[in-house]
Amino acid sequence: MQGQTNDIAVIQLVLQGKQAAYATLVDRYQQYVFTLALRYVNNREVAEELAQDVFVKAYRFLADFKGNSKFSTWLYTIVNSTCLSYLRKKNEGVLLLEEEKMIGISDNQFAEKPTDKLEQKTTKQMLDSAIKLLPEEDALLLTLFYQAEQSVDEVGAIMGLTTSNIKVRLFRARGKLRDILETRFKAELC
Amino acid sequence: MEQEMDVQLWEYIDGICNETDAERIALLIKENAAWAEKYAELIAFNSEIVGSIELEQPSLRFTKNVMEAVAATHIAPAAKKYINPIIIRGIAAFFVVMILSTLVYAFATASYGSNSSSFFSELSLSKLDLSGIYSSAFLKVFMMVNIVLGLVLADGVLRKEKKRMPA
Repeated sequence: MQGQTNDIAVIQLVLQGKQAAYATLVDRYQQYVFTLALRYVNNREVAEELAQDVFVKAYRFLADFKGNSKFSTWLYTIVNSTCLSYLRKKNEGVLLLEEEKMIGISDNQFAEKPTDKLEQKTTKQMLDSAIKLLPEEDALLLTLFYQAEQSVDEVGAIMGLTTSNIKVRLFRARGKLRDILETRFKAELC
Repeated sequence: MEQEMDVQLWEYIDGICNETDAERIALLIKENAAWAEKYAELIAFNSEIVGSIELEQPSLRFTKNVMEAVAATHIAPAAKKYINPIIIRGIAAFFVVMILSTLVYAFATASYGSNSSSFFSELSLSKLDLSGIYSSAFLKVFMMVNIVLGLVLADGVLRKEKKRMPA
C-alpha cells in the first residue's frame, strides 16, 4: 500500500508538469515491464522496445489513471495490450515460435545427452528455463502472480479474464511447470 | 479426487478461498495424513517458485531512452474531459426517439379492420411508396457523401497494406 501511495504522489508530480519525476516510476517498474514483455516475445531487443513503448503510452495517458487500481496493475494492462497488438501484427512470427516450442527447441535444448550434458543449474536457473518453456500465457500468469505481486483479481483485470478463469489457469500453469521440471530437469533435480 | 485436493490446497496456499473453506482445509491438513503430505509438497513447490522467478534487467540506458522519448510527448487530457457524457446520452436518446416514433407511426397507421386478412399483410413492403425518398436531392447528396467516405476508407486501407509490404 505504501508503494501505491508513493506511486500516486509521483504521478501527481508528473501531472503537475514535473516530467523528471516520471523517471522514478520507470526505474521502479522497468524490470517488471521488461520481464513481462519478454514473456510475450522471447527476444530481448524487441522486449526492450515494447517496454519503452509501454512507458511512453503510460506517460501519455497518465491523466486517465484514476487510482482505482494499483498503478502497477494499470501499467501491466498496457503491457498486455501493447504486446498483444505487436504479436497480432507479427502473427506469422508467433506461429513459428509456437511451432518451434511445440516440436523443436525445447527438445533439442534440454534433451539429455551424455556428451553434451547441461551444466549443473541452480534451482533459480532451472525454474527460469522451465518458465520459458511454458506457453506464453502461462509464463505471463506466473510472472504476474508470483513476481509482480498481483492478486488473482488483478491478474484477471490485466489479462481481461474472470477471476475463476485465472484460478483455473494458475492451477494448470503450475501443473505444467511441475511437469516440465520433473521431465526435462529430472537429472538436475536428483 | 487427488486433483480436487490439489485445487483446494492451492486455493488455501494462495489465500483465495473463503474463511469457512480455509478452516475446513486447515483441519484436514491437521488431521488427515494424505492432505498433510500433499500440503507439504505443494508448499515446498510454491516457496521454490516464489524464491526463484527472477526479473530480467533491460539495458542500462533504458530509463534514459524512455525519458528522451517522453520529452517529446505531451500528456493527453483525461478521457472524461473530452468525452462529454451528455453528448453520448443525447445520441442514444436520438436513436431511441427515432425507433419509438417509427414504431408509433407504423402501429398508428396500420389498419386493424376485419376485412384485412392479417395484421402482417397490412405491413407489406410492397405497399410502401419510396419513390419520394429515392428521387429527393437529399438522398443523392447522402449517397455521394457515402461514396466519398468509402473511397477515403479504401485509400487508407490500401496505403496501410502498401506500408506493410516489404519493398
